[in-house]
Amino acid sequence: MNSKLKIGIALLLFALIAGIAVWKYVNKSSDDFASQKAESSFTFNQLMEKANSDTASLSQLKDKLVGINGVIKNIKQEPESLTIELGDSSTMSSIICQIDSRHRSELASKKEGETISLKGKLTGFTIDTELGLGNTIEMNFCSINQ
Amino acid sequence: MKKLLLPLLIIFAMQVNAQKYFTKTGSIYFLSKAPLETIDGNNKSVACLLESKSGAIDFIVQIKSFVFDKQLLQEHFNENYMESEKYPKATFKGRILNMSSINLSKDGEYDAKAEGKLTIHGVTHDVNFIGKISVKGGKVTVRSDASVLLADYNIAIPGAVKDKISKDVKIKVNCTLEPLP
Repeated sequence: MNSKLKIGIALLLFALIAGIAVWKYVNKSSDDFASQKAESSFTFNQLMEKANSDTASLSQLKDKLVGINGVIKNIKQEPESLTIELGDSSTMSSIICQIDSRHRSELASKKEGETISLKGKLTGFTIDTELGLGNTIEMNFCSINQ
Repeated sequence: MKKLLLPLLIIFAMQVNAQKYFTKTGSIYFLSKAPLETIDGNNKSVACLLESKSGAIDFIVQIKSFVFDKQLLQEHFNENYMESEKYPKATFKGRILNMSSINLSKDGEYDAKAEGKLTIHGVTHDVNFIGKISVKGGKVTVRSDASVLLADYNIAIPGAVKDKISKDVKIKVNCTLEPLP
């Protein structure tokens, strides 16, 4: 095999490997946090206390993997999604957890009124003084916090 | 007794007329269909409040709550296009123009026209939407398909990906509202 051919094959292999790496990077699925440990965990009341009186501390949790323990107030099951709202009937304030579609089946049997422990990325919150809907904390990519 | 009953009935009737409906788990589906790539994402934690008498309707959307299948899209959507750290929410504050022709206490489906102020990426525009409102068993579902031109909201598309992202994105809103206690 002459050297030009060897260089050609090497370049081709390099291009192939680089192409696969780029393809994998571009098409990488969103992170699955189910196997990761929550950076910090709270009860529903603890997080709502932050929403009521310490939003600076709540802001620091944005983009963090947060564990939350609370009572299921509402379950919204759709063909391709599951959203669980934590809270209770005494307050309009609640935590909305969009369940990671890869872990929906693990939560399929859960019922309203049950206490549950979830974890997910805290995406933001709304301190509602205008609409009368209470404070709302939002999380996505949620799964069971074991 | 009758003198007492009448004002009470009037107050009750006024409260019924001014019933508010809400959800915190409404959905917005986002679709960008460009020659080289289709990108879509979902947000299932949309807050919506509708006031039945005036037709006032408000939406609040946390941008970071959008979910994409691919990690890279999730990052680019938040960091490069929507700059969600700087502009964490999108809102619509408006009213349904033909509320008088919509009976929220009777099952049925109605055409709806809304106007108001849409704020995305820190930019606010007066907009009009058309949609459907359906009523079933006391629940009110608001649906609308709309198109948003990214340039109108100062959302820049880098030259390197201009064939992958549509200049206008389709948005589907679907919110099932319940009476506010």
